[in-house]
Amino acid sequence: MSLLQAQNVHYIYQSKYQTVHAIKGIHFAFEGGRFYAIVGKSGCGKTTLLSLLAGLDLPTEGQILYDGKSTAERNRDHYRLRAVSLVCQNYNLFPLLTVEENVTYPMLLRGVKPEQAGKTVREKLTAVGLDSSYYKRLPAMLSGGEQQRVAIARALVSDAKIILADEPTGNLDTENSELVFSLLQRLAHEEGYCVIVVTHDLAIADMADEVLRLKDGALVD
Amino acid sequence: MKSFPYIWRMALRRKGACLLVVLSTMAAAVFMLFYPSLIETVRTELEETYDGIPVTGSILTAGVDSAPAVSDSLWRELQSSGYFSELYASSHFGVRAFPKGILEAKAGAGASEQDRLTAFQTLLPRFEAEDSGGVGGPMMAYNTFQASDELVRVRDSIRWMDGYGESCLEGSERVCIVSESWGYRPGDTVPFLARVLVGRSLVEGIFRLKVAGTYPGKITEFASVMPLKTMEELTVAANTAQRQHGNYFAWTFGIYEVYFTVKDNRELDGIKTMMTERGLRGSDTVRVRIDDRILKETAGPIESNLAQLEGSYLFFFLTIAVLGAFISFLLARDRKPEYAVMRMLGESRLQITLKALLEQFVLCLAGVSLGAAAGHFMEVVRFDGVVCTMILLCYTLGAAVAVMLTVRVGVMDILRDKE
Repeated sequence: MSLLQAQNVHYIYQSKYQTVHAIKGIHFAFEGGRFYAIVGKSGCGKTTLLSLLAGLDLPTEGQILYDGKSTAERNRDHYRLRAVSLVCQNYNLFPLLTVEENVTYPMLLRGVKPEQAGKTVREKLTAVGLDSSYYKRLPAMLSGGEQQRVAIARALVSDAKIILADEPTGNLDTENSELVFSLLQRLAHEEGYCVIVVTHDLAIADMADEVLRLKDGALVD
Repeated sequence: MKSFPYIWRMALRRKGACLLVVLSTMAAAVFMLFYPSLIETVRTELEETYDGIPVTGSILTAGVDSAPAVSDSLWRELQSSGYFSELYASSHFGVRAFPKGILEAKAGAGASEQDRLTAFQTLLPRFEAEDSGGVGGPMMAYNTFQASDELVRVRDSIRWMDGYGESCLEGSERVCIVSESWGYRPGDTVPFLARVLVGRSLVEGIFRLKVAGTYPGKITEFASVMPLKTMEELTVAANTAQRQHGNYFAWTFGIYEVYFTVKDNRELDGIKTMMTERGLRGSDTVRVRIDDRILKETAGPIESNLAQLEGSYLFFFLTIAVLGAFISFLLARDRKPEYAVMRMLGESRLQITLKALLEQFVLCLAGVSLGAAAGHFMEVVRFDGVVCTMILLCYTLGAAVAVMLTVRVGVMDILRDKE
C-alpha cells in the first residue's frame, strides 16, 4: 500500500502579474523503502509539488493522501511534525543553536524531554557521520556538507517515514553531494524511509529508484 | 512549550537584541515610575496655590435707596453654607438721639430712666430746630467688630464698660458703641428714635441701648454702632408691636453689605453657582464681586500643566506599546527564517507567537525590574506595582501585534530564499 499519494493534484496561484497554474493534474503514489527523484527545469513546479506533499499548502484541486487521509482533513502542523521531514537546499538549521540542540529541537516539539532525547540524537548524528566533536558547534562552524548532514539527522529523529528533500545537494561539492545522496539512498533501502528528492541534477537523479519528470507542472514520461 | 528553553537560548545568544529590549524597558520603567512624582509635585503646587491665595469678595446693595442686598434668610444660608472662613456683614437704619448733657438738662440731673425717656420724647419735636443739639445719622449694625474698618482703626482708643469688649457686637444684647462727644459713659443708657422707610412711609419708633463702649471724636460714617443680631431682634419686636397696634407693615431686616473670604478656593464654582441661583449675581440691585483674578492667573497655568501631564500619562503608555511593537518588529523581522524553520518542523503559528511573546515578556520583565530597582536605589522613584504591570502589558501588547504580523511567513519562500 502506498504511503503518500498525489491524486489529480492541481495548484494555481496568483503571482504579482498573472495567474499561474503551477501543478497540473499530478497523480502518483509514493511507497515506503523507495527513493524518488523529482526532476525538471527551473520553474516547472518541483518545489511547489514538494510543499504540497509537505503539507505547507493545500492543492487547489485534487488531494494529497497520507495513510489514506487527505492533508486537507488533517492538522497540517501535526502532519509536518509526525508524518514528514523536510530537508532543504539551504539546510535551514537554527544558526544560534548548536548541532546537538538543532537535532534535539523537533524531539522537544513532540514532547520528549531533552535528557531523554540525548541518546537518540547522538545515534542519528553518528548515523550521518558526525561524531561528538561536532555536538557543541554552531552551524556556522560547519561545512555545507556537514550542515546538510545535521539537517538530515534532524529529519531522522522524528518518527516520520517520509523524507522530502528540496535540492539537498544544491550547495554542496560533488564529494559531499554523493555522500548525502548515498545517505538518503541508504535510509530508503535499509531503513524503509520513503525519500522524495527534488533535484535538477539528472546524474544524481539516475541513482533514484524512480524518477518523476515534471514539465510545466505536469508529469511526463 | 517544552522547546521554549531552546528559544530562550537563541534569544540570549542575540546579546545586542536582548540588551536593546532590556535597556529600553528599563528606561521606560524609570521614566514611568518617576512620572507620577512629577505629577504629584505639580498637584502639590496647585494645592498650595489654592490654599495660599486668599479669595475675597463682597455683596453690596447697588444704589442709595435700594433694598438690602441680602435677606435675613439668605444671610442665614450664607452663614451655614460653610463656604466662607470670614463673613462680615453690616446693616443700618436712621436714628436720632440727644447728647447726655441736653437730656439731663431737660430731665434734671440724677433723673430716672423713665424721666429721661419722657424728656427725650419731649425734645424730639424740636429735633429739627437749629439749637436743639440733637444728633442723627445712620445706626450701623455689624456682626463682628472686624466688620467695621472705622472701629478697627480706633480700637485702641475705645473705652469699654467692665466685662465688655469687641466681642459684644457678636451677641444679641441691646448695647451700642457711641462717640464720647455725646457725653455718655460706658454703662449709661441712650434713647434713640429709629426712622425707617417702609415702602413709601417713614416709620418711627423709640428704643434704648446700653453704652458698651465709647470712642473718641467723631466718625462720620455712622452715629452709633450696635450688634447685627440685636438689630434683627429689634426689627422683629418693632413689627410685633406695630401689629399689636393694628398697623400691618413689615420692617424688613436685611444686610446691605457683606464682605467675605472664601474658605476653600476649590469650591469657588459652587459659591458662584449658589449666588447665581439665589439671584445675587446678575441682579440690578445687588453688586457681587469675587476677587479671584490672582488665583485664576496663578492656578490656571498650573491646572493646564497638570492636565497635560495627566493626559500625557496615557500617551506614554501608548508609546511603550508602540516601542514594544517597533523593537519586536525589528527583532522578529530578522528571525523570519527561524520562524519558517519552526513552521517547517511542525510548529503552529500560535505556538511560535506565544513563544516569541513569552520571550519578549521575560526580557521586558527583566528590564522593568532592573529599572525599578535602579530608580529605587538612586532614590529617584518609588516602586509602583500597577505602573510596572502596565508597562509590561503595554510592551507585550505592542510586541504581540508585531510578532503576529511577522509570524505570518511564506514558509517555502523563506526556506528557499534564505541565502
